[in-house]
Amino acid sequence: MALLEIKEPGGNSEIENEEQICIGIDFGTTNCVCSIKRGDEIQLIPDELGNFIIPTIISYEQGGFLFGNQVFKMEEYKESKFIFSIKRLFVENPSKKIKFDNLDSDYSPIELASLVFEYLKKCSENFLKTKINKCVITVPAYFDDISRSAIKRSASASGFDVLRLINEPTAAAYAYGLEKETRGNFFVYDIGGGTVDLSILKLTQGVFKVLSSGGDVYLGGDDFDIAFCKEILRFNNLTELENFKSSEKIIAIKKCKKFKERLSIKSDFEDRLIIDGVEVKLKVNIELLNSSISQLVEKTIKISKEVLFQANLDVSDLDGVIFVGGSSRLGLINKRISEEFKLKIFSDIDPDIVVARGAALHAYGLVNGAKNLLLDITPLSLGIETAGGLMEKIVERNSTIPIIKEQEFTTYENGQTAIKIHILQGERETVEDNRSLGEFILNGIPAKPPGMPRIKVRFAIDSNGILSVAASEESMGVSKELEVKPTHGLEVEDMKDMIKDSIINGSVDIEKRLLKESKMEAKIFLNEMKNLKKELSDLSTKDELKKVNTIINDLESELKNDNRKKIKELIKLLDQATQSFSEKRIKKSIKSALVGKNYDNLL
Amino acid sequence: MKKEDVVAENLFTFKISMKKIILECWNCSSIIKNFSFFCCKCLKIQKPIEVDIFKIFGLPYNFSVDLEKLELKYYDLQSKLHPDRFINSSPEESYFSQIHSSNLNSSFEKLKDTVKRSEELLKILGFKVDKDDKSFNDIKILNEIMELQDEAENIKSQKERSNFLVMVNSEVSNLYKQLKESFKQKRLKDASKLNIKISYLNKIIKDIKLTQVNE
Repeated sequence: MALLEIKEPGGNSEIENEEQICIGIDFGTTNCVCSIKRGDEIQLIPDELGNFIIPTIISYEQGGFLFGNQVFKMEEYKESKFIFSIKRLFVENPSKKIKFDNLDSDYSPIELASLVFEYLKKCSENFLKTKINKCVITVPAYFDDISRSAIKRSASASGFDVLRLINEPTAAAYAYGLEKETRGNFFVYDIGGGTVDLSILKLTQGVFKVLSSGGDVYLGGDDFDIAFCKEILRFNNLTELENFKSSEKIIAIKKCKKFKERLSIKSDFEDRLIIDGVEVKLKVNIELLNSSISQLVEKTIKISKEVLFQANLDVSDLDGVIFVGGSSRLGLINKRISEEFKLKIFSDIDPDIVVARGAALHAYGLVNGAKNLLLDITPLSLGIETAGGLMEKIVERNSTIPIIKEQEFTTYENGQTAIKIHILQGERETVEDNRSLGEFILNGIPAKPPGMPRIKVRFAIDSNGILSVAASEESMGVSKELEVKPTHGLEVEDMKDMIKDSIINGSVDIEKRLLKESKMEAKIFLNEMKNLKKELSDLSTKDELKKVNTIINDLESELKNDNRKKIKELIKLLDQATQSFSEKRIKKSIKSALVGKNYDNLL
Repeated sequence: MKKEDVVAENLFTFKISMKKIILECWNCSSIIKNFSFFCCKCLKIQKPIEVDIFKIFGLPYNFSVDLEKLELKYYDLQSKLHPDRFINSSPEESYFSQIHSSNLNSSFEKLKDTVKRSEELLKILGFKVDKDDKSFNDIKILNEIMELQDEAENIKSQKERSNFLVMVNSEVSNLYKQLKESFKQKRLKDASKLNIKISYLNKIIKDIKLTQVNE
């Protein structure tokens, strides 16, 4: 296909008053695919070279940027000259600048992605011969708020009006459901170049409800290629991959990717590789591939089980598995999933383009009306910090969005007039193990005894997955709100391990939490006693008073240690010792302010 | 006391409109007598008002709910009220839809869950659950739960675990029947106690399943 001229926008569009145009973009780690639904037809949008699959690669050459397949037209690959896997850089840090060797200025992943979006926009406008503004972009279901908003910002910067970000597995299921009218519970196994993204979806009467999702933003086909490459080198007694020159390393990995694809036709063969400028012979077979990736594949099986558990379903409740992403073609994956789930596997739509098709369908429905509906979820729990450094979850993960949730909190010190609302995301019990999204302070709380003020904290996640938090104290009418626009990213390792950790560390966490809670309970109790000192001496006998004071002293010194049992015991003793006092107080018709014990956490 | 109509002005500040029982359509001023998502005259989406989880789905205040029917109703309402349907509408309407859709989501979640559903129903029927002594008036229940908890912790084999699960599950379904009966006969205090017990047992079941997944 010849390079088409870009028409200047403006003038009367030919299709005004007809259907609105909105394209679907699968912005993948390794490849991008654009698609559009017009009339009853879904079309893939080619680049100017006629390719539908556009590698997510940028290079700088002779005074201009080259994108996708343009880069591959170059004879030589030089690592420093092109940048790939931009989406992975998003997970690391969307704002960190990257340098091109032959360019003075640095670019951040957001800027680079926006260049790619601009290119995709041009391709689409060339192909459709009209100005394109609106789009729907797919993101991994497991992507967090920061990566999502970074992708949205990039596309907006290139002139797109992003109507919706939808999850990749959902888009894939959408493509299957709409075109083949499938109904039931489906497990979407999406393994792309850089991410594994697993979701359980329920399809009913045109509504697609995501029940749960999970994944790994750092595991994908690219990792398979590297593992396979290392295994080949080991098997053939060659230099380790780490010792390769960087330019040869990339070529070697790329070549192993080719070997991987060839193995689906021929289970063993010989080929060549260039190491240190010398061509060497090597043997390749299917066993090498399977043994090198088996651990990685098992990791995805484990996540699958977790996702199923989160959806509250058994394997027998599932009706099928939908395969998405190039790596789902691997024989080993097919074999393992068949073994684990014993289900029909849907793979008849090309796994490389199924997401883009779903995105195009959704895009069409949004602007032109559709009978179908997507109900998406929030992938990680959200909450705030409570006294003692614990995270109180307000919106549980896998909640269907949009969602508004409200919870009441109170003060724990006498006369406290301000409260800090620290917003957190993650599955762990303690604040430091989760990720901080921001914080604000609510002032002007009326000075009252602890436990009296009622502070409402409201979390709202809109249908775009954007979180806002508000806090208010009703009696005084003070309120404050914050739209969370996270400025700092989650460390890659944190992100990767966040959910996994919450399960592995479950028991440690609970012990930690119980200890913190017991200490908190004790502190609150002691604080309370301090406030009631005068009343206590008025209403108690001398013996009682003496006993109570001894326990208070013991408890105060015990707080320096981490002996939960001891603390609990002393609280119980104090509770008993103050029993008659609190009864007298209640009799005096004073509302008992002794703080109730939180027994929920005993279990 | 009359129930006040609460009108959401934005996602956070709920302004209380003065005890208005009769609502007007914001667009055509038609009077809307019953709770409705859309104006019966101009068909415009209406301002969200505070409704309980039963009323939003047009359900009577019964403990028994046909979950299959409810789910279809939920999908039907979401299909009409989800923000995706208001992409080309005014910001106000799109905003109303965010709140309606959110209310549908949280109400549906609560209705689906036996424990949450009965908690809400108890509240609506006027039964006050005192947060401070939730469950702890009943030492017997507590001891039973503690024993089960111990038992669960001491499970060693896969077989023991599945036997234990069968046992706890059958206990839950037994309690569930009793709970249903309690609601029928308006014995709310009993219902509340049963509900607390079920919630603890559910937690035990969930924890066991989680260990299973992690193995």
